[in-house]
Amino acid sequence: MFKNYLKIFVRNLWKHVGYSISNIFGLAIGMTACFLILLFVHYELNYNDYYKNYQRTYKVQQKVLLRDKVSIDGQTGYQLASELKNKIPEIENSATVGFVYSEYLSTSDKLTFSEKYGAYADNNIFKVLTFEFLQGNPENALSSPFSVVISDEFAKKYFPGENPMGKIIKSSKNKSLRVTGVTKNLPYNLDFRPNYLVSMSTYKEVAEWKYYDLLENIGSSMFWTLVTLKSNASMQSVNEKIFNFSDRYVTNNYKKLYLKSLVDIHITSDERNDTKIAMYYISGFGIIILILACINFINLSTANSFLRKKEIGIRKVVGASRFALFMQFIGESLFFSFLAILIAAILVIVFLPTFNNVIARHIEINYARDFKFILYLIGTFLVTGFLAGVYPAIFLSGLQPSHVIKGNLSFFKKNRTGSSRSFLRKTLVTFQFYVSISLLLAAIFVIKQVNYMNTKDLGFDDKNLLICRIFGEKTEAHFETLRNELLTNPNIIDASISNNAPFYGNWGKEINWEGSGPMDKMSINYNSVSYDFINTYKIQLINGRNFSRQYSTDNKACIINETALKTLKWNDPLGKKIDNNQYTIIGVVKDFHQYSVHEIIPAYYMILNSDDLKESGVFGIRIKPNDKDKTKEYVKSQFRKFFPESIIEIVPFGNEIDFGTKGVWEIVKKLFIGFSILALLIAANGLFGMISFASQRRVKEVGIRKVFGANSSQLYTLMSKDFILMLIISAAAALPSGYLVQITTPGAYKYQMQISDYLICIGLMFLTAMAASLYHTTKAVLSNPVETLRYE
Amino acid sequence: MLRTNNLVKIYRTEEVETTALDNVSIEINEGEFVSIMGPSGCGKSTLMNILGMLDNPSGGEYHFLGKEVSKFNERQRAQIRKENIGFVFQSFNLIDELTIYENVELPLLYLKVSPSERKRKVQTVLEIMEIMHRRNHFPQQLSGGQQQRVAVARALVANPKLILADEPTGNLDSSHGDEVMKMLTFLNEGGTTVIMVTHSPTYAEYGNRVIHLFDGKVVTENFQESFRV
Repeated sequence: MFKNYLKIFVRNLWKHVGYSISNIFGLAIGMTACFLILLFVHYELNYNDYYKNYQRTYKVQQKVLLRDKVSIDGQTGYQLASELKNKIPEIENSATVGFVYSEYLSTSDKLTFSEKYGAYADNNIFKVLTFEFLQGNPENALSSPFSVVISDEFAKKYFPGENPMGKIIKSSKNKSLRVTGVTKNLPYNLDFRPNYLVSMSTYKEVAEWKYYDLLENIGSSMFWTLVTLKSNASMQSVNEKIFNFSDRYVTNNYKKLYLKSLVDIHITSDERNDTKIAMYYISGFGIIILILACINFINLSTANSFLRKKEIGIRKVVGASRFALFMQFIGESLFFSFLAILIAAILVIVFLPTFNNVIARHIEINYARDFKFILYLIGTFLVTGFLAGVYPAIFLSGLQPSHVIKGNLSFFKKNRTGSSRSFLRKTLVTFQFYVSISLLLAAIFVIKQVNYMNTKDLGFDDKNLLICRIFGEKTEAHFETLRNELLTNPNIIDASISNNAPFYGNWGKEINWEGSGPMDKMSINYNSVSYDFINTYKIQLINGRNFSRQYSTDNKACIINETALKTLKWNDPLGKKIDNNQYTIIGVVKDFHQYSVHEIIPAYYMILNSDDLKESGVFGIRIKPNDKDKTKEYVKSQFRKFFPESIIEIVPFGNEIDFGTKGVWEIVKKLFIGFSILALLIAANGLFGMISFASQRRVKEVGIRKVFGANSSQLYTLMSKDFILMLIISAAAALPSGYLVQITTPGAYKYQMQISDYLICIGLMFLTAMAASLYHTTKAVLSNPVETLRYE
Repeated sequence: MLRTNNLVKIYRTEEVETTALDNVSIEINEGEFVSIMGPSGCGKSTLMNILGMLDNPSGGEYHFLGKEVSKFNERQRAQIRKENIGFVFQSFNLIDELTIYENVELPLLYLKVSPSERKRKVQTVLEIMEIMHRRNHFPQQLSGGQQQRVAVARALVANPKLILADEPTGNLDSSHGDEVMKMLTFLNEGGTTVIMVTHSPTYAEYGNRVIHLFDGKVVTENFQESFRV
């Protein structure tokens, strides 16, 4: 019997080959999109599971209790790790990690690379995080100063074809690091993924601030502290024990410790839900796409099953039970779904590299190994197949054979069940419209939001601005001298040096102010700048004055931003003092973005400091828009004179900067664009199927109307009336979704949806619907009534 | 073999009530060849559907092989049907996606007959119906007469006690019609009971009895043994 079913199935598949392909591929593409999205979400939610003890490994973070809010500090002081291990018995191991950002390393003049991400650590790190050593010994690899442990990939880059053990790597600070270990390459889904690990004892030699290891600085924000709890320990009880831990070292301590599990730090390291919300959006999108594809499948299957009613009648007459027929149709639906999932499994492999490119991730899939994913596939196949098949199966198996064997289609029109079926189909298609318009609205919002962020006024002029950074030796030279040299070029308008520049570095601390109580603190970002910083970046001064060479007292002066002023609540800030009464306010600048346009601008102050050409400084150079390349060359030649041995990096401002939108939201935007187009196509496909079916059924009606004088435009209206009504209902229902996405999207600055945005979405849906319906409607309208009425 | 007692069938739509069968009482014995005649809409097909247990009556009794079946549910009806009754329709009703052989084999599949037994039975009836040579063709590749022979083959492959033929010659020209009638007669002579609906008085005479229906009622029953050709 199974053979008989299979034969019928395959022959039907072949007979309606166009329908079969569109049905199977439609479903397969929906499944593929859904799987890709879920792979991405799964990847994001399972960061750091590479380490053996990841489930009981935690990062120690600080809750900073401020006057107006609680902020999160992910970094801690140097001594915390060892103190915690000594005093808290539940802690099995602990380690301190310091980071090296943007370093140039070399083995020879030819092999110099810019390394974005390295770390300082001691041997304890290998007890907390299980690196796999290919060479060297994790017990002592990081014991002595100037030793470095590198990954296999790193070794091949710097020492192609050689054994790297014992070899020397030079840093831009002209320190020589000896390779004492090589580890296996780490996977990409790690939050702590340094390209190389330098021994912590090296840090002691190079640290600029020598007091970092004092116990009283245990709360300073410099290092990561990682701990592994004993397997029977409870995180909660440790959390209780460490909350006030720093109080014993720090007077007036307002930083409280807590454990952040390694599993969570990727998504919510700052205790904010931004990324989580993005993940919800994306998963929702994926599942909706699959549902849309399933609805199509159900619609097309039910429509097609009409063609099978004669077969059903005959089978019943010759003795098929209702159950046998039910099983036959469920079976066919499952088989369809099975074919679709096979295709989807292949498409996932085919599209994964492109998808990885788009989302900037390294997702891998291996069907032989990822048993869980196979289970997802099987689950999806069964659920989809069953859901799509159950309705047609119940309906068709319940048909009275005496009704169908006469081969009389009109039965369906007279019958109540027939109209409820068409009602179901209309409801499903209306739902598809609704979902498509909602997705379009969401997509438009996210696109406009991300664009808004990318083009938002930064509060300073980011055009015609060069950013220079120096990696290497300190120099005795004077910044003012360098500046004067630069200004001799007429294309250079101004130049400044600062510890940080907007979007290049960002330091924060907590300060008190004139008249504050002993526990009053406000969090603030700070920067030390040269005289011409404000002019170079074209930041707007709204009160007081800029730093000036005329005032010798300006080395104790500071300029704050509007937000700082609002927090301080002073009517006349000029002359007031902040930060242990160290700095007198001489001016207020308009708020400008410092590190992310996605977030509210923090309080900020700047002080006049560096006249020294510090290696950690950032040079900003305001140039004229003409001859940029020449100007850049000139700048480079001047810097070369002052820094003959160093690596000089000169880039136009904005190159490679994350303005706070490029991260996960840029991905969300790309996915939304791609998948809302897909959703539109799926809905169009569904509509095409439905109209094809409806027009077949109405061909007689059209014929009669034609005979009695209806013209083409009247017939078009007649045929389109249904779906236009469906479109209006769905558009009305979808309107709130735009607003919903707008309010749930995180971020301080949001794009306001315009009426035109809504109209664009509805218009797009309308055009797609028109395009999908045109073919069959035209066919019906142009049909010859003599033909269509012949059998009456 | 079968007996009906005041059989009533009423079709209802929202506004209209149509009485298709109005107190029909007939009795048909084993081995009979009964023709049913009457104008369009008189209830012939309705009666056939009820006799074939494709439909339940609205009232009255229907005894088939000694059992009162009018209240049987679908599963029970399907069981009796597939064991005892074969059908032949005006429009042949062959499944287009199955070959001739597979169409004829279908009732045996639902009766769970073993493969070897199936093969033997199908071949036998295809030979009797003289269409063995077309067994691998699809229905559309055959003439109407040939298709109806396939339908007859399918009806008798499970060796039913009763064959219900609803205007089996309606879509055929006279030579093919004659052929089908000969087949039915041949089957009847072998002991199978045949009930046939027809518009043709000539073909009706193949039966040993003609039942005339009019507006859902039995108007006359003619025994015409003497007229048999």
